[in-house]
Amino acid sequence: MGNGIRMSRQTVAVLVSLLAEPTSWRYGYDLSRETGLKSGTLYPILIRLTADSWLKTRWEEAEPGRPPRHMYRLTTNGLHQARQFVAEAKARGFVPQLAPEGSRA
Amino acid sequence: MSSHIICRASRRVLSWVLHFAPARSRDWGVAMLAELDVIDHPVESLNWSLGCLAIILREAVVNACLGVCRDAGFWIMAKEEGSGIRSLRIAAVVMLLATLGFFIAPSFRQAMSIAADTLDGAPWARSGSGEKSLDQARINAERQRDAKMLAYVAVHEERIELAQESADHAVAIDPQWTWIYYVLAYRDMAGDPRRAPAPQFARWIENLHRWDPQNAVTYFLEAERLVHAMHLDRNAKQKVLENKAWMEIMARGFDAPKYNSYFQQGFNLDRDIARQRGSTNPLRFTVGVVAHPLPPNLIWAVQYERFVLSSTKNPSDLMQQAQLVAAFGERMMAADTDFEQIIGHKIALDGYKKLQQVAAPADQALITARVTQLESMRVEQMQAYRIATGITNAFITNAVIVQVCFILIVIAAVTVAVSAGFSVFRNAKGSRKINLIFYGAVGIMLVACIVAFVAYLPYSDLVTQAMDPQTPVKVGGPLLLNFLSFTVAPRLLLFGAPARVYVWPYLWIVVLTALSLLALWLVLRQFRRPGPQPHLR
Repeated sequence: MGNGIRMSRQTVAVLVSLLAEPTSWRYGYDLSRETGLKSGTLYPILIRLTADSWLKTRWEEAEPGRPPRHMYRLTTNGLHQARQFVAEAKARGFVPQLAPEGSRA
Repeated sequence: MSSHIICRASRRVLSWVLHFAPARSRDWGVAMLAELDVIDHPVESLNWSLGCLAIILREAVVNACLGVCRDAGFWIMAKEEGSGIRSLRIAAVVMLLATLGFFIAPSFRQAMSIAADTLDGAPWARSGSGEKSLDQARINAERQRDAKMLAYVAVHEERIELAQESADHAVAIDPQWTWIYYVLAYRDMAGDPRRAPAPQFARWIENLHRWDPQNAVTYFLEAERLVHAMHLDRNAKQKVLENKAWMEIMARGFDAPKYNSYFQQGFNLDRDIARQRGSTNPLRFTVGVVAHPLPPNLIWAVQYERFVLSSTKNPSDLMQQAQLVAAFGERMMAADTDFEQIIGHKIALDGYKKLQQVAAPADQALITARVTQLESMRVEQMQAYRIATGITNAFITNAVIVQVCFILIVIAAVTVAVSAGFSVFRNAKGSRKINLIFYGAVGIMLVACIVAFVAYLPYSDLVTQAMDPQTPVKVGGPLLLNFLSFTVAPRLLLFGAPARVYVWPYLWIVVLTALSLLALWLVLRQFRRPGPQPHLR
């Protein structure tokens, strides 16, 4: 487990959401909708996960008239760590509650 | 991209704020801003941008608080993996060195020593120089025939035989130390009043009379010994005033042309020895000042003057007695301690007021002028007392702060040692909790050192002034008495105190603790943040 990742419901929720589609690149806003986390909570978690190399990031190709969006995906190491982290979290009772379909951040 | 006014405003504000965001969070800000472009709902857009603003603001505060630290060398680790922890370790080492730096300062060591000595509010038990220390001093002084040191030992030695021996030796070497018999005689009476006097008491009094025959205080000692011998319980005043021997001795005391309770000699002796020994604990010196004996029966002196002023109706006798009383009061007013001055003032005023009634018309103007002067002095005394009370309260405030900081430093030092030991011996170096406790304790220790050092500054100034041989006893004594605020503080903490005394220290402590905790939290948060993200550029 990375030293910089603190176990919290919010972190577990983000990881569960990322683990749901580990090979896809995800947008911040989509993660926010899925987890029900506000941007002020979500982004610090993404920053920490990136700093600990659990996540890799990239900018999408820009479309005309719209700025490029930032995307996130678990690294190979991050995938392994995240699974272990979530399993441990569940064992400790950190059950993530993802936002219901259609809810807003 | 929504064209709703709130969505556009949110985007504008966020893009504008991003210009001021710290470099490390700017890229993430751009990422959050980009997401804003796909949010159509106005409220959601507003919420999103508010969350982003909170992150940027937090980063800005952290940056502002830690700018100095980073400039001081944290950049060295910035390019390395796991740089946060290493930086934190260096910060902890710097803070520990800074803390140790405080202990190099004599005034800080003095503050800690006094705080430790007064935590139970009773430094009296440890006020002496210690039996072993006094034994060594006595042996050395006897070998070197050092009369001053022998006198010091005699004054502070509680074992009466050794004190007597040192006093005799000191006086034999240099008779100017004969006044220490006054201290011994007083101390002999300060114990159980029903106890028989020490066998040497009569010899001490005899020596004092021979060496300083014009001094009133020796008569007062004699008179007090008589009061003790009466074993009084009820009607004490009447029994004492009816005792002819007591009345005669008091009359001689009032008639003596000199009043000196040897406070100056005692103060100078303690100060010289403290300077000679390089003493760093002014509290011991202060306790010596406080413990210096004043004539034990000053209240009896007031009873005596009232009696003699009311015992005769004969104008000629009354005038003579009133003159004696007024003159004695004037001599006592010139004494070195406040208490003697106040009693002397009272006696002199009583004498002059009686003189007003019986003096010749030609002398009336002069006497009335002196009465007016003395009464205005009483007002001044009251004003000075109020000011002194205010100063004392201010000093108590500082004393409480120093004592609380001392406790914090001790707790933090123990925490540092335990957490470091735990890390090393239990191989828990990677434990986040242990690290957090260790770094937090180091930070609190440093903050407490700074606060204690600043709070003790007025006291260290007092010590400098009081220990200066040029400072008169009348000034130096009261200055040192402020150190007693250290002994008052714990008692007040235990038994309650007026809110005005404690509201400021408590506020200070709460504010400083909150600030130090905030600073530590910011430090720890900072090192959990990533460095620059090259892949985002």
